[in-house]
Amino acid sequence: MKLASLIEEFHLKKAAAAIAVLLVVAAYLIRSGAPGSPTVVAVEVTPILTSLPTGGIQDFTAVGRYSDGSTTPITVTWSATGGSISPSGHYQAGPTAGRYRVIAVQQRGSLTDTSAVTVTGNGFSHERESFPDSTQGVATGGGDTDQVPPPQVVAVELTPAGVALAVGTTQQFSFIGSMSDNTTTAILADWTTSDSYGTIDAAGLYTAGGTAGTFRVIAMHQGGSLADTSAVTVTDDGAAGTGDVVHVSGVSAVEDKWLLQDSNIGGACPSDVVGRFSGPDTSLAETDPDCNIELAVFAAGSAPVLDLAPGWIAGGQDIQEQLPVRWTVPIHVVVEYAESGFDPSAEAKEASRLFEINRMGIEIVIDGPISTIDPSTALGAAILGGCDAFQKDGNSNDNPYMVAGHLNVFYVREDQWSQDWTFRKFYGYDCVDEGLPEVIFIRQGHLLETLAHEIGHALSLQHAGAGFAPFFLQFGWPESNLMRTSIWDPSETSNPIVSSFTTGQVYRANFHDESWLNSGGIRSEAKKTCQSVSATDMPAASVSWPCPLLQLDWP
Amino acid sequence: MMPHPLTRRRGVLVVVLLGWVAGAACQREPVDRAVLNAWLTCVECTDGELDSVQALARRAPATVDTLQKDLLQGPSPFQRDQLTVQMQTSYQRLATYNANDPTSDSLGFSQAEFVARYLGNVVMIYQGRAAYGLGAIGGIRARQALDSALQFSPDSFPPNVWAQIHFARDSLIGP
Repeated sequence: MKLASLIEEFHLKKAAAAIAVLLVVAAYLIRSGAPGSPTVVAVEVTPILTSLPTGGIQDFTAVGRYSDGSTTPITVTWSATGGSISPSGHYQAGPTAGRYRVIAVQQRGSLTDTSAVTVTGNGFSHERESFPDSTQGVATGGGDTDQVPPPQVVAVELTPAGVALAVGTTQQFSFIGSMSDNTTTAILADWTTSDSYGTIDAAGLYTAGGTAGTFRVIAMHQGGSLADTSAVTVTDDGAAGTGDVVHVSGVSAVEDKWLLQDSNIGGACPSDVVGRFSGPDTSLAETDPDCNIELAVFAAGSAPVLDLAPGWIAGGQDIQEQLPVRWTVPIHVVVEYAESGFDPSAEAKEASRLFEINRMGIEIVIDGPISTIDPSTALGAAILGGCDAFQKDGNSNDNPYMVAGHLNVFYVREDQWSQDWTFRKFYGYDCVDEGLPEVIFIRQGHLLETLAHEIGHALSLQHAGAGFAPFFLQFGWPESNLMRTSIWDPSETSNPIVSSFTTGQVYRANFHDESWLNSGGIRSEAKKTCQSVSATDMPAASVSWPCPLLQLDWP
Repeated sequence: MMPHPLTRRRGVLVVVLLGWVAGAACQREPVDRAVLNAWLTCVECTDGELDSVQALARRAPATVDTLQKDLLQGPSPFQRDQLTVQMQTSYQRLATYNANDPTSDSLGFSQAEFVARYLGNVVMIYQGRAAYGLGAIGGIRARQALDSALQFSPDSFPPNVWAQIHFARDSLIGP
């Protein structure tokens, strides 16, 4: 078939007209910006800080940061003090040592950014850029020659131009305007920072976040378009990592000690950590959603002693006594089947071992004889139906298969496992959602670590992160965490079975109200509440043991 | 100008061809092994692991084939070797821990018994979940996969897995 006839059949003229219309619309959208498309919100110059000898050379680059957080190279107009700079950002320091600036101004826009340049050499001089505020302009005068126009801001300077801070510390910034009458004055600024972990308030008080790195503090003249930038280098002492100035000794190999550790795990703030201290005020314990915290962690032994690193200022109300922390967690085992070779003590011992090596401070012990369930009885069948059977009688302790003060673990044979489609998914579960954390079901065919995982639920631990393995790192959870939904990872070649708890989980398991250690009355001492208690409320012989009251060496 | 009398037929042909190309493109979406692994190994599976498998099956029909293979073969020999080593290590750690506890009796089982038991359990979970996943996905191919597994003798699978296959197949509607 000839091409001409095909063209005719497809009505080329009509199609061409439609395409033309589309092109016009597309051109309009490109020109005007499609609704919702990201816009440039800041110009960022790299490097933020540089030090050069006199006559030294440095290439600067500028990118535009878009409203969606992305960056892309952007065309800017360069200017500089203390040297010369080419249109491509090639800066050469002049002959005079001092602190200077390289300024990038967005072309066809008003956004700017500044980089601080220190030129080393003999002597020191400081030059400030003179950079007219395009929105305010310079007064041009009027008909009344006696009227003195108000001074205009012709340049701005953010100080300090660069600063190094420890995580969690603060820095007050100043924003000074150079006026057209050659005076200087503090001017109002809109403050922003590129540090997504840190904050800066409306007065220019910057608080470093918990993550080390080099960030920017940006001050933009309110009502104008002049801006200046300061480089902030946030450092971490390596021992902690989040919002603290406390030097922590790290994981000690010494037993029988408390350890103070940071809750920040892999740069993320776990969702189920308690005992968060954002400052000296420990009343924020358990409620502070921030990650600026330290954790007191149980060791596996029995006599906790606060193990403070140099630099820690212990408050006068810190732990003043030693109490046993190795609580025996008794479990009562009920089996529905007697598979050859099955020995639940192996799993109890493994749970105990895992809790010990992770410094949970508890020991799992099978207490008393193992019970058996007859599924042919009404009660036996009901129990095998799952958590609901225990709820129906209103009191789990009335159930003859239950032993009060124990975690009751029901091992159930595959063919007796609930035929409910939902429950068929489980290989173990804890009835914590039904208000019965002391009831655990484990299905035939479970893994060795299943009991430890389910006891973790009874101790108020939730699944580590949400979803499956690839997301765990995203949330900062170690891949080896026992509270993962999958405790065996086929994609992990070196260590497919997981075996760890985080310190935050250890803390929560010990202190959280919903932990069965507390709600189940396992401790012989008073329940730990994690609430502040004054020194007079905690005499030396008291069995009441609140969270340690820590006086951080806050600046 | 009047359209050519064959225009409509050609238009239909173009649409069919485009549909075939699009369909072929969809079918080429690979099976995300991580999604399957999350389901095959979860303890409680309360974080949407099965939903993810069902969604994956809608995007990648080959999911059924992969699950069928998982059902029939279980973990790969390489994975079993890894698990064996891991479980041997676990046993030794457990034995050491137990030996250091003066109040504890001996473990009461050998390393070989320990490894056999828990490796068997891993395989059982893996294959059982594959069967369950096929039942949840449903459809002709999944049913055929389950029926195919049921053609084996019962002792070809651990009893638990055999029960899971039946459970999954019985939950599907249709012959």
